[in-house]
Amino acid sequence: MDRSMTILLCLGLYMLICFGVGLWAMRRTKSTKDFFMAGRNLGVLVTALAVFSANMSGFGFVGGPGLVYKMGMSSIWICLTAPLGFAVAFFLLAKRIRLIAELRDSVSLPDTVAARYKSETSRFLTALAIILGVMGYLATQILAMSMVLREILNSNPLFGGGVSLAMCVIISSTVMVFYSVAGGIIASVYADLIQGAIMVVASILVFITATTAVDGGFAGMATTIMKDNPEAIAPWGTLGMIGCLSWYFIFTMGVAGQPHVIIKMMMYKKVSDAKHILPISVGAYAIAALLWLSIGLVMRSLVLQGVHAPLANADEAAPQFLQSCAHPLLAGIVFAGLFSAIMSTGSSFLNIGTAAVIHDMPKAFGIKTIKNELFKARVTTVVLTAVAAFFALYIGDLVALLGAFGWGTFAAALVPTIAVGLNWKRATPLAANVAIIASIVINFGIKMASKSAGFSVPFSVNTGAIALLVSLTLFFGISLLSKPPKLDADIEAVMDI
Amino acid sequence: MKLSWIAFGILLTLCGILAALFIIGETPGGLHIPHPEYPDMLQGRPGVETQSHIKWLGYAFGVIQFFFFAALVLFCLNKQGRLKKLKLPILLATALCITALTLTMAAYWTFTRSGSGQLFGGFPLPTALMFYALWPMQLFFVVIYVIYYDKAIFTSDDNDTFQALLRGHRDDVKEVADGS
Repeated sequence: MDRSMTILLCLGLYMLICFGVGLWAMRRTKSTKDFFMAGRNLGVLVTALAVFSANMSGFGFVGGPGLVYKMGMSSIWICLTAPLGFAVAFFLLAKRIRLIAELRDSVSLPDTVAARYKSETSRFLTALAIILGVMGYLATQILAMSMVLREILNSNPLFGGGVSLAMCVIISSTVMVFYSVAGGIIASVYADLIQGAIMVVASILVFITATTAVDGGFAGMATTIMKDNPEAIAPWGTLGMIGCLSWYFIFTMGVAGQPHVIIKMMMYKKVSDAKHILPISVGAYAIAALLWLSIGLVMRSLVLQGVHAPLANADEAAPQFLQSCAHPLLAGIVFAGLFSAIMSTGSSFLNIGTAAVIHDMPKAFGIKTIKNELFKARVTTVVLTAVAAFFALYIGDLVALLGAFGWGTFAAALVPTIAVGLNWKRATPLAANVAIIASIVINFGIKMASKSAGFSVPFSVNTGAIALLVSLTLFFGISLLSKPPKLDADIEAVMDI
Repeated sequence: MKLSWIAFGILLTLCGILAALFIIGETPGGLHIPHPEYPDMLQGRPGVETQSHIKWLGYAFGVIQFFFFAALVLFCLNKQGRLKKLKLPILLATALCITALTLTMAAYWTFTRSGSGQLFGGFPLPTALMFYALWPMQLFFVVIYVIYYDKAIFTSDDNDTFQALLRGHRDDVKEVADGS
């Protein structure tokens, strides 16, 4: 069987599994709590792999190796943060957010924020930040998923190279929307479980393949890269010290502000499970990071040695490696892993966005009870996918702008409001609201300034890191200078635990 | 001094460092150039030319981050005497991370001056330190979380307190529902 057919079969098998997961999860989804919170009944392994794979996403498969190819070691500072980033997120949130979720029966992050701050404005702003970020992320995930699918289909003689991007958007969105609508977050976390397992296995196999792809293994790669440009193989790569350290800051602190990651901390069965979930997530992430590192280094070395043709686009590093160095079955598994990574992250965002639209926005405007919430949630899921698919296909500039609303905006808006606010009784609603607004304004402002006026941040400091630093400073400053707020007795009691 | 004020002070210091970096600015020519032969590949300019004027600010930016992470974790755990058990391990883990970062940075400046160096575990010394010292040192935070979870983060007393709180809350909700 030829390479393209093996890859297509692996992908087809994965899509069938997705349909199966969707149908299975549909039978377990009987209420809004099931749809958004998986009934708060997830086991250790499922939660651990869902936390890890939500954090890694398709970026780890494509963007990560591409960055190593392009910039040398710089992007390793993103992977390097995992042990401390996950630990900080667990210290700050795993217990607290789980307790509040159970106490107040929360089904979304804005629910928790509203309970903590006794403020519908805070709920509204949190939901708004989530919706803006989710739309950007979702559109980029759909676009990435469709481009991968088009590559795979058009490289297969069966399709004659004529499959359009729009057709791929329809196919991939249909699969994603089917299992997201049918099974809600239950389908999403079990897809995460499959993705996590595929990523771990694929990363080990890719790592072994990569070490034999260049003579001398990693030492051979390092020597080749060092001869061409010593800085590329030094710790800061080509980005420089300050840029890398700003990545370290935003990606370490940022884990505690990613809604698709921390929402899973509200879903596990027993509070004491957190101590088992953390090391499994960190271990899985460490293994998956091997793929990120090894493919990027191999491709940069092979191109520098003249063994492989130069890449027109750094993001081709992973697909080209799989085409030229990997066994067809491994290539098939990794492509399926890539597809599942993108799809499960997209599905998580879809679920969070749906909760913000159907559950939180109405509550923020005073509508306390929503009739047929589960049905409306399913309809909203379809509508959100359609809107994101439209953005992905026809409004590329908006997608790019909203894409900038990713990690950095979530981190800058939600780390102070949720990660710190749930642990600090003195934090005020005003401080939370200002932090969220600051995060949106700074991230959007710098992006717009760089797009329209050619502004660039000195030393390549990450925009999200600046926004996070400012929003945290404002949050602490305003809270310390304000009168301590009066909290509900049960929230105050749970914050003492 | 209260930990919240310490965390706030650290944040102001980090903002100050960023402001200073922006005022000082990059050296002409920037940090990297496009690779002369291969599209979409960059080459870094030697750090000794582009970053030595901000060496100490960069070091401070890295080290103070670790102080902030530690302060934040301690600040969030500062309830019901939990800090007594967790303060020392967290400060030790922070010190180990700072030591690893310091060694990585020191090795980098030696490396960038010479432009080459021996390989350790497949990488130049500063990169090897990043992989084999800085990365594993952070794992101590994970180990602390696992070891101290039952002893200081969520004890059996905490569980009892929460269950009582939960029962009380459910009773309140039921009363409101019955009343209405």
